[in-house]
Amino acid sequence: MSRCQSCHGPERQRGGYRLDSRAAALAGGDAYRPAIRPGDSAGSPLVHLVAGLVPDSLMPARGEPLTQQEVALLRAWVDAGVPWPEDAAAEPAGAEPHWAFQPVVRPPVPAPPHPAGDQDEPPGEAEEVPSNPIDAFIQEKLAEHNLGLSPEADPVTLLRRLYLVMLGVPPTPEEVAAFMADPRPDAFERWVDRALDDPRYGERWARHWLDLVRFAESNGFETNRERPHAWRFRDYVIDAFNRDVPYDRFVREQLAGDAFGADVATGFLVAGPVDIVGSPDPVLTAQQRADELDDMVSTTGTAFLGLTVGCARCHAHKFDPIAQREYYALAAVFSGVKHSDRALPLPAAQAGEVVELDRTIHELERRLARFLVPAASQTNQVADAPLRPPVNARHNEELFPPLAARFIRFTILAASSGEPCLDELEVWSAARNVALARYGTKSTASGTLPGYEIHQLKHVNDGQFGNAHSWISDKPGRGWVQLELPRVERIERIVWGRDREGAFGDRVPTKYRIEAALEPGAWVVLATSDDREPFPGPAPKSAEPEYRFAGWPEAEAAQGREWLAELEQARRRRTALAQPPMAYAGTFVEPGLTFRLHRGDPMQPREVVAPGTLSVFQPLTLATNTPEQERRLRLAEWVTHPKHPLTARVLVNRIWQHHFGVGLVDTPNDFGRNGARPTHPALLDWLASELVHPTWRRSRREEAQQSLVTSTPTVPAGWSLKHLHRLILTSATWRQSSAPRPEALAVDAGCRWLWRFPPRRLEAEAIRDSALAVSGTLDPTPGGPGFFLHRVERENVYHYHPLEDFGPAESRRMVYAVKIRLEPDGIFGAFDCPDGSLAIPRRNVSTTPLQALNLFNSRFIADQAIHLAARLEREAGPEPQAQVRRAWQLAFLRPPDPTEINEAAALIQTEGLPALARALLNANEFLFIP
Amino acid sequence: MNPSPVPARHPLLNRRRFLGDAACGLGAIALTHLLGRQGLLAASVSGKEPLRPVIPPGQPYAPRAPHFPPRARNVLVIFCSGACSHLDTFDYKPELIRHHGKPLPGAEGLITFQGEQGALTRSPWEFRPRGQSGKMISDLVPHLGALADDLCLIHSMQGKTNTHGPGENFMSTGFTRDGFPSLGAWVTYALGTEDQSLPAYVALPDPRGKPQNSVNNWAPGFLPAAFQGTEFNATNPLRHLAPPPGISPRTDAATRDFLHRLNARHAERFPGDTELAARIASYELAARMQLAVPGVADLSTEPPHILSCTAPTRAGRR
Repeated sequence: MSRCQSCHGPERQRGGYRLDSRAAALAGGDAYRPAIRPGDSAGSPLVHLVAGLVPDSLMPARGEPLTQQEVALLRAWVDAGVPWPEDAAAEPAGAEPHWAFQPVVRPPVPAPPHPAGDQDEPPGEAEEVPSNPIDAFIQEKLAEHNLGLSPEADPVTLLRRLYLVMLGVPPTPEEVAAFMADPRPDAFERWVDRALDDPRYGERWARHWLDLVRFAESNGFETNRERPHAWRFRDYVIDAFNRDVPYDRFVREQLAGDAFGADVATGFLVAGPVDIVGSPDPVLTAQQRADELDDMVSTTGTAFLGLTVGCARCHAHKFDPIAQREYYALAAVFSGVKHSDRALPLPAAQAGEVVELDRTIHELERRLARFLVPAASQTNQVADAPLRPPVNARHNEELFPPLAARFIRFTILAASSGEPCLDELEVWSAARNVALARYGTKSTASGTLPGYEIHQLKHVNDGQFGNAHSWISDKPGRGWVQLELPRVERIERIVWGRDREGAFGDRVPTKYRIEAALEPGAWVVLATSDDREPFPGPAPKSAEPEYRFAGWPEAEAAQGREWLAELEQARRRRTALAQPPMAYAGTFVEPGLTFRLHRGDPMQPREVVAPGTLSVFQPLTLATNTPEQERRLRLAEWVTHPKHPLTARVLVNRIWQHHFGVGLVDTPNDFGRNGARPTHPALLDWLASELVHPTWRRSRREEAQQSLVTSTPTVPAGWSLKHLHRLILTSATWRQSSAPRPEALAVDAGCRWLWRFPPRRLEAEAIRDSALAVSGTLDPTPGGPGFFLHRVERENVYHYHPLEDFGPAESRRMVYAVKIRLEPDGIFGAFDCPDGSLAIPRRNVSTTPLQALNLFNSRFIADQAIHLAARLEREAGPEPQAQVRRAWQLAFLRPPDPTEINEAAALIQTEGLPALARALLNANEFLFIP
Repeated sequence: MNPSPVPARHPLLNRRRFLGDAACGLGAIALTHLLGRQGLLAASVSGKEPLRPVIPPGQPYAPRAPHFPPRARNVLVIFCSGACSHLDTFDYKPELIRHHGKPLPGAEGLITFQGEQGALTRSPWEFRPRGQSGKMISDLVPHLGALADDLCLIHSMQGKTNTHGPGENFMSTGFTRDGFPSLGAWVTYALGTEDQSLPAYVALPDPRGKPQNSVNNWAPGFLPAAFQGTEFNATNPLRHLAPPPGISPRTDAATRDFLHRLNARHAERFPGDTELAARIASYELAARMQLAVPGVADLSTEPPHILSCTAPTRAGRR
């Protein structure tokens, strides 16, 4: 078989055939399927080909043919049933099992190292035994390299680091003073809690997650149009971090939040780019759709599992056990997800008001019913009656003598345009709309326009009005809807419309017939369009054509007009109130079949692939007709299974990386064979286990005393990110000084063994936010629609021009800036902001002259320098030395040394206070996490 | 990607392989980059040193040796997004002339991006052999045609998209999708630049409008932002090149000096930290650019006949 591998192995598959797994070897390639029939060598094309029995197709195609002996061996093997080494498909022969696919087993915490010479002495009472397991793991590895932790950083540095890492802005001098004055021995732990409770924590850490899920608020590609409702997902992420939503729930919500009342969360699925240039070209459309699904599959694989699943789009993964079929099993999970805004459920209070208004509306309609002209019908022959008003798009009433019925049929015979649409079909029995699905009424129809979640049959009796909750027939000008009530009802009035909200005037049924029956077949006509005036066209949205007050006594007519005025007002108010908030969270349709695409080419579909998960962990295969939402739900459950070997490991590595700059695994989106190995495998596993099954508690004195009294230790909830933060932040590893030590630099310049806290430059957002904070102009308003960093030219193709002048509107935190795909901010984009096209797990940290030019010469920084100068004058008075002291406190949280006072005061005197402020906002000390 | 350079004895194969790798096989380079990011760990696992440039933190643009001796010193890519059709200029299609007015065989009733498929149409311009090579070039470009023997036309380079944005992406990055590094970003990443006082990689967008996919055509993708193409033209040479308005050259210089001393003292407390040194160096580089770039962008010394034949006018914007 080694002779075959060069053409039919993992590298290359000539003729679509590969021989490196039993399944693939049996299945065959493009020409011969199956290639091998186990137990039947005479009937196996593979044997024919190597034996030269197929004219002009002797295999191997290159080199000597197989000897007779070799062919005989092959035949014997096929006749023996094609025995294949176990696991050969999943694990290349000879390779040891890959660490990241093994279950997480909680390793024992290493014993704390004893300082040399102290072995005989038991740890003294006063001696703080390192209670944080992180330190034990880190110290163990450091000791292997003859290194040790650095001493704890000074308190001010520690507080500055805490604020910059956790909140993304520096503390104020007043906060530093309060911290320094805090006499409690566990003051730092308390300030850690404070930081974790600070809403700025969510604003800071949501940005990391948004990078990872390629979030942006425009479509990307050439049109790159805005997504005005995408910001809700950004707010959802911020809020989830602040509320410490357990990570497993956070994942489940993003994959299937529509099943848990977390609708905005599915913004994750569609946060990526989409090419909206549509066309009737089926090839182009199929390619675009395949790219959309690839974005969802790849991002899900990398964000949650740290696997490069996208590599299996065209062929089996070259390094990891991911078959091409598995890629398409995931694609099938997402195959019903469409890029789109989605209407969110109304907030409870608003929904309550709508119900209240509905009651008023129905009562008024009931009172006004006497002014309707009854429909002519089988049961109601009216001679010489005036014609009823014409059909209108919003609202039509059919009044008829009450009768008992179980079936109601609405048959459309003509429409104003296209396939006809009904937004709601109401059947009234006294004060109750008996048509509603929630009472058990079933609906059937002639057919439904395919592909639109908002135009499903279920909407015709869901009690919701408007185009977004309507049914559209699949045939131009025709169609029928039938309702089956759960029991016989005495019905008296039918109300229907095309769009109760008045936004749409097309697709109006203009010729129709409404019938009722006790049993199907025995239809009685209730109303038709025959006695209405002809349809005047789509335009008029006239007030109320239904009621006729002429001919009634004046007093009654006046009463009727008054009710009508009330009714119109109530309807307008209802329409306004019932407008749901929108979010760019995707819509869902029941998908068709998913096929494996040969070489990833949508024009070469092969076998059907059922929705399912990867085989790296308890693979799940669903039926091909599994409902759409259930597919995502089951995937979400699989990803967040407490025993999943990747989910927790990948997450704790990400958290670690945002604390220390580099993860324990420095390829955060690739935990596969081609990724890096962890520097501290035991620590990674301990943290992963601790995340899911927490046991660690702080040894805070008060808490320790309390627990002695109450003996009820407070074990935190599972999957808590704040628990993980607390564990890391209170470790000696995190609290150590960042000062370089020559002997350690010589051994480990990259600081992978963490002999110091690795200092690093702030990210773009934190630089901008910090500059605003120090100059005193940061607007802390949270949430809501974002502000623009570009001037937007809204042509067919959108153009974005970076702003040069900024004002108060642009002074909120940068996480609230509208994130435009591909178009970086003119100043801070150069600081390695991701462009929102792909999942970015870790930003580059580059240092370039363009960054220096942007920071030193932009009007934004010049303006902030002027604001900072004004603040210094306000807070420190006119005296340069006092101004310098205050400036150093604000920017660096420390007093200036004598040289600095002299030089800075001299700069103020010759060049003015803004010059000093401009220098400080450019200083390394200001821009680095210490 | 082929790990070893292609043998030089097949120049034709060489060029083809190069173009294939450059415009289509960038994924392999991306892989190399990702491998490189794993540092020593990955190298020890695979047993091979990944082919990757060493980029000093303080000098991201420091010139780096190429993997084999270069034949060209500079590469100028002129990309005419939305230019006239190859079928009207350089791509002679005798079959098309034969099928003029007939439906596309085997694709009757095909619907494409542009709508329903019409009949085939030959170019309205005659093609004729040009130069000694006899290369067929149309009458639309007779003067270029006269230079046929000096041109290299690559007709085998084809993409699989028929829309502008993804097509531009494919041309500039090798992928139809957004988010991958552009050709120039890869070159700068691999080679650095020889002149430290000028941007390493510049993009000169047509002042009448950028290409449809805009900055993605010169974007760094997932490479460090340092390797992004710098937008550059005569009217707006480089953003933030000059001090902000209201700041005199003297104040600017004094502020820069003060900042330098502040940063130098700070760096003394962190001996051996290259990132701090890199930021200090970046301000020095920026100052050099501030002096050098205006000279490059100054077109006032160009003779009028050069200006008139090269400068596009603002008329006829898309």
